[in-house]
Amino acid sequence: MPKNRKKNSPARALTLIIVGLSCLTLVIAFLLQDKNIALLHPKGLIAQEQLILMFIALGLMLLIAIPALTMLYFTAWKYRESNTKAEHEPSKRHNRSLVLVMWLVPAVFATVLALIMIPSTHRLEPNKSIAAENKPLTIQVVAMRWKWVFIYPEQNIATVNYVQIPEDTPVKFELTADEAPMSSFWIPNLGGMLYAMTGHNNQLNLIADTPGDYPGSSAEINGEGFAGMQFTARASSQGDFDDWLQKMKRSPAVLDTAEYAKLLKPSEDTPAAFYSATEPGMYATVLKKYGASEGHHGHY
Amino acid sequence: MVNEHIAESHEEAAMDRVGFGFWVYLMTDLLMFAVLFAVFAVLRDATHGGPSGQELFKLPFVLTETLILLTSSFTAGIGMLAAHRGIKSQVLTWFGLTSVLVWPSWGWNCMSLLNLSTKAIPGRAMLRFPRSLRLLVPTDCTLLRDCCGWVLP
Amino acid sequence: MKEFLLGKLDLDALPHDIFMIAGTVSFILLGLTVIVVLTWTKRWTWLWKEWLTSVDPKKIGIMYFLVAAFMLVRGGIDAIMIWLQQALSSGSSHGYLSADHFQQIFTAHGNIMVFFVAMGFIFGLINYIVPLQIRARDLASPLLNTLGFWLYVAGVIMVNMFFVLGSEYAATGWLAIAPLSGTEFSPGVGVDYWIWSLQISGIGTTLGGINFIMTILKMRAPGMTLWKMPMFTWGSLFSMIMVVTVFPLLTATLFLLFLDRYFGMHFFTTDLGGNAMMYTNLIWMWGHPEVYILVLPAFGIFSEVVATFSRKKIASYSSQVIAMGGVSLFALSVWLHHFFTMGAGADVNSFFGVMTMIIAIPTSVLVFGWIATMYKGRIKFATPMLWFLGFIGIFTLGGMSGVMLAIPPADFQLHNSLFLVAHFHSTVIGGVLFGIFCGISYWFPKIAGFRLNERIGKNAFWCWIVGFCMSFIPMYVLGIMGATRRLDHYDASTGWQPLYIMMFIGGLIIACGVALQVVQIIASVIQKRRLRDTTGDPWNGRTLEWATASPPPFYNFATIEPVTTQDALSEIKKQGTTVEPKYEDIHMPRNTGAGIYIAAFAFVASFALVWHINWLAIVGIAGIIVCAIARTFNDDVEYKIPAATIKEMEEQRKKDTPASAPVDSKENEDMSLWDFIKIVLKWALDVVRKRRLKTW
Repeated sequence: MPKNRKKNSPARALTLIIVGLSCLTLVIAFLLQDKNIALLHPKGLIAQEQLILMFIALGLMLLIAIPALTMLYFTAWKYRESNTKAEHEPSKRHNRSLVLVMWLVPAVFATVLALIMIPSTHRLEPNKSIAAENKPLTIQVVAMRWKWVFIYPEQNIATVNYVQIPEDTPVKFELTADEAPMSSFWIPNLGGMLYAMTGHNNQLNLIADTPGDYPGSSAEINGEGFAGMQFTARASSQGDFDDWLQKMKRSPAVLDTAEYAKLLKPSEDTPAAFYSATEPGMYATVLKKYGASEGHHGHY
Repeated sequence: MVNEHIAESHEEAAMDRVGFGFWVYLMTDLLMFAVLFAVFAVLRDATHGGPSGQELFKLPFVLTETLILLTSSFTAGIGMLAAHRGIKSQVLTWFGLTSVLVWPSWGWNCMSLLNLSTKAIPGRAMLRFPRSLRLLVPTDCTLLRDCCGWVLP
Repeated sequence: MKEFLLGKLDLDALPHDIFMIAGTVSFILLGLTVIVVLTWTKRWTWLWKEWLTSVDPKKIGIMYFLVAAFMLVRGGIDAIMIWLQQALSSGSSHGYLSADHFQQIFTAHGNIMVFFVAMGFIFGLINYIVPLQIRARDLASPLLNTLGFWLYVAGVIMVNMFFVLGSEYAATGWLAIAPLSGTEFSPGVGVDYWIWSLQISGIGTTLGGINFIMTILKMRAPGMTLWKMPMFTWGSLFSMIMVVTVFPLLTATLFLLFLDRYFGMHFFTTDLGGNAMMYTNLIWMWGHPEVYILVLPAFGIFSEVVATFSRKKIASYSSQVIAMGGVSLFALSVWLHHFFTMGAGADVNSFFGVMTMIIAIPTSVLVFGWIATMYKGRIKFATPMLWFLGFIGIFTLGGMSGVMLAIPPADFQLHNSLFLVAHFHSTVIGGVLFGIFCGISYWFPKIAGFRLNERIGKNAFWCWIVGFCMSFIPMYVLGIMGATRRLDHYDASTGWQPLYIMMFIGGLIIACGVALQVVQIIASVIQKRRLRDTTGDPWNGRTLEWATASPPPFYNFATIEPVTTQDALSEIKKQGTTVEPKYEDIHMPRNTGAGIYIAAFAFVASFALVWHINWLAIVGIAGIIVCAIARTFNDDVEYKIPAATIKEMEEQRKKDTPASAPVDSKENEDMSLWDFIKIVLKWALDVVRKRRLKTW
């Protein structure tokens, strides 16, 4: 085996790795040209803030990871046994200051990250109302097998697997479940998720700043029909939203107790449904069924 | 922790290891029961309108039973010491005493368990692990384990 | 009457769909092959006496490897099935698996990989290597060792049993979160199989943990204080301390879920006072430390390998030990980060987020320590070193994504997405699995007596790296796109399919990597003579396991000499001791079938509990107690080998394998993959030719 091959082996490996990863990146970028990369396309304040936080964390970590990895691979390469020019000190005694640096550097980074994390966690707590000019809208969500039922208590309408909200309006989603395992309410373009569980009333505050149709789903496995538990969240202008409300009022279907009982039966890939009226206090009834009350907001 | 194997004989070293290992095992048991107690603490009021702990458990009864069982563990321990010394009459006495204490109280306890399960939700199973059973099980199992543990290498 | 005898078991339990039938048939064929081979070669007694009832940690270690390797293949096939389904199931196509079946497959995949592959390999390595490293002859309790192994095997059988009887496994995800795992939403036997396979093997693990702690703390060579122990022993010690701390939590939690399902109790149900969130807390209190249990021995392995192949003492031994200790301590305080999204509030979430950040500190210290070790070393890039370099890159990726997930608001967007799945696969494959591969290729010469083929080993490594990147980088991207995990179907408009297809191709490449590892072993066996390790120390090692023959005699060391420093073997080599060994009588434990019998009854009991066959459960439990008590009546558990016999055996061994300079068989003369293929084709052609000649 010619010696040259062995000498260039690390260099070849490095080149191949860089070329390979670049190709992979290019292919992926090409494939995703006009697709909805939900987390990178925030359509609301919450999602935006969460994304900024992710970038800050990533930036700080790369600040320590890139030098560390470079140092590691460079050291491995420099002190390879075929490099006779490098020094070899088999019993090198480490110095105290090196150890101190080894512990302090990650500790500093962890502290900085923690100092960023704690206030932002409080600021982005899901049940914190969003301050905005427009009046907030409350939507009560009941997770069932395998669909989402949206009740608009103030407007007295309801939908299944479809929710429409006006733009620039803070929306308070109240989440619970009925005869379903834990589900997770998630509209990635608008913000993070929160669990919808029987006997609990979790509050998730979101706001949309751009009109559009955004996919929503359950992010926690809850049975066979889990993958089909998708819904559409449409953000529209205030005018379009009012028009939609009017249209809903003309819908023939009504979400009364009988219809609700029908919905409770497990069904997969349920198409969207629209109801012009609901039974008053339906959400509270669901909570009471499991021994909870509306005053109970999320902290258990 | 410097090992002094050179000084100890082979048997002494083995007994030392077994003793230490048994302590580690007891700690794992402790953690297991810690979970059960934690669950009890969280769920104690989650009776969903059914009878509460105060209504179901007769504490004087439970206390008496617990004391009887603890005494039986103690007498079994003395029996083990006698067994180690090889004094047959003492072994029989102390284990006999243990049986007298254990078997009736076990039966008593099983009956009270059945009683609980019918009282807690008529026609359905219990809400939660009755405290008395929880204290019964470890003491009896400890007895069994002590017997095996002393002799198992 | 039938219900009393058979519980819930009836003809419906027999396999009736294609996958179950295929699984059953493969297991039956496999079993038949083994039985036929053993009968043909008349090796039943040999198998029983030499292997199954053995209490030798070396033999038990090898058995762990074999079972874990088998489960790696099974878990890997599950992974390929998952990838294929997700690559196909877009838009109008729903793939080839039903949703329920798909959910069972990924649940099984997770359980198998964590409990039976990773734990199996780690326990195998600790069993084999730790006694050698501390100059002990055996573990503290040979009985617990064999019992732990057979309980593990009973768990393996349980997790495969459902193919034959029941046709369903849990479809709940690998931790069976309540209330999905309760009888209301999972009425079949699947979750019961899940409970009992984990419960039995969990108890086996706890017993093993106790045993290893006893061994490491009480059976080290004289003079080996804790601060002189090798790094792998330290990693194992910390890992086992965590095992005995958290596996009891798992035992209790599984027991409570069992009570819910078997007796209709209401610990975790949605109604009548149940609290499902309690289950999530308890199971993750176990679940998070579990992954650190897996990775700490791997860290220990990497420390050893880096030091040995850099021909340098590990830099800052104290920092490394304290870092490993710090990781294990803090691992116990972070479990809530698995469910930030459950709504515990900002204060609670912040606390656990900060604790999770803190773990990153000792982990970074470990990495810096490795850099410092390599600095001014003279590094030989054998396969174990390559696995280390691969581990660093992939584990760092996993670590960074982990830190992002540790920030609660970020986690709200990333939880349960494929970003999370990519994160934990990066850390587990990069950390644990690569650590296992590194350890196996490093210690293979010690275990088998000959080293592994380096060329094919490097090919396998690169396959793994390429396959991993191809599989998991698209997975990170999919997570950023908002793709949830565990989906058996998705809309075509999402644009996820091409990425899923890339992941599937990556999976096939990883499968090639695994195949190459198998080829590597076969090729090494073929070239056994050339690759033989005659000195017991092929890598010029620094720790005591290299101070005995390869493979070691059944008593490990003829004499237990005291130790004075860290890196004990390096010190001995430096001093060049030529003291005449003073032989003493050796006490060795006898083989025992007690482990097998107890585990068999445990299996019977759990099988009965799955199918609600109450009388059989009682028989099983009674059997366990009876066997245990019967064992206590057995006083003849050890035998003595007189010093003279030891002296004879040692001198015979020295005559058979003259110690020479370390075998320096050139790596580039190892068989290459192409050479191997040529050999296989030639052998196949020969067989065909002989057959032709016969028929002539």
